Amino acid sequence: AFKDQDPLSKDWKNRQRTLVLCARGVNSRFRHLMSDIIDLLPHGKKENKVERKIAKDAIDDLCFQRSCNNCIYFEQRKKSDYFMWLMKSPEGPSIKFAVQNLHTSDELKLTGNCLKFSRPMLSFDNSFDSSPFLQLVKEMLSQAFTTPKNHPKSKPFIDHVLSFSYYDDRVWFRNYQIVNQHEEKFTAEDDIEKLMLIEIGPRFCLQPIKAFDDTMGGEALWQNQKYITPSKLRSRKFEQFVKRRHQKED
Amino acid sequence: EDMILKRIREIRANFYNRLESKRLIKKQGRVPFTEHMTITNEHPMVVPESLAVHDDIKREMAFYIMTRENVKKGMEFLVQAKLPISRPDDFFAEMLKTDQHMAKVKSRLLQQQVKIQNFE
Repeated sequence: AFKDQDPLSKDWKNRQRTLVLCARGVNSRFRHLMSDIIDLLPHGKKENKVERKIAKDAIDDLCFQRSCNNCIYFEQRKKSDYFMWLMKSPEGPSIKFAVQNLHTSDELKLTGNCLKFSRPMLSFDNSFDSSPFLQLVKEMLSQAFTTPKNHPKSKPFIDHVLSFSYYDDRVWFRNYQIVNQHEEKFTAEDDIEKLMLIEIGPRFCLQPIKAFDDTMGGEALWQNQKYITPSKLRSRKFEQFVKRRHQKED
Repeated sequence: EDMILKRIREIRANFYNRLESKRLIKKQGRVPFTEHMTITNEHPMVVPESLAVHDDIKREMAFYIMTRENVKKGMEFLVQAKLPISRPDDFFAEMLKTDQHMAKVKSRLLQQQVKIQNFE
């Protein structure tokens, strides 16, 4: 059975923090995604933009200065390719993801809403237990996104859930509000069988590319064999286009 | 693979050391739910096999059902632990989306309904 020694204690012991920052030159859409994520993390800290070339050396220092042991770092390449690094500082490990299908909570016409800085529940799909790499992803995501109990900035209520599902070799992120059958806030007296979810946003999916032993580098722990870089995809498309054109001319 | 498992053990140990109920963890051998708030589903997610790339609704349904199962389980734990779940009615606080934003969303919904009615 489930037991907690003292669920109502007000002590804040788990001083886990997450640093959220992005590289210089990231476009507005991606920056909005970053601010959405900051709004979801009461234990998150925001940092100035960093230059992409020095990020590798700077991030450990920044994490140390702001006493954060998790870090989420966004970078963008070639105007259209988005990447997200998820890492533990200072010992690592770190994982690099490609961010795809992103919708911020501003642009989505979703009707859910929740308290700012309430504690989220985290929901993982069954396949996260299937391989060591996915277990690592799950552990790191859960440490970066769970709000520590009794964090002073957080509100001690639970009204939304962050859902991570692994499907089609990608991690899909969704954020839902928890409501009862009348679409009002869920209370302890309500029937659990009838609870419903309304999506709040943002949405995105993460395709893992590579996992490293240290922060942003070091020995590779895992590599995605199926991953094709966006520029390669583009060049392939272009080649096909050229081929077709030649065929037409002949 | 072994390296990954080793790293997982390390970061887990690091996480445990920060927790409030360390003694309890030693006794029970696991972190209480009120600390980590993480649920993993026991059953594999059911996504229809031959899914077209743009068949968003079916995929979203699969995510929704999976998450709902998890939330139910989580809520049971929370009710057992007697942790406060919902805010009292006299507790006012900032919301994630502003009232302005929500008003926009609502007006859009209404507009769409009117459109549908006119069409019919």
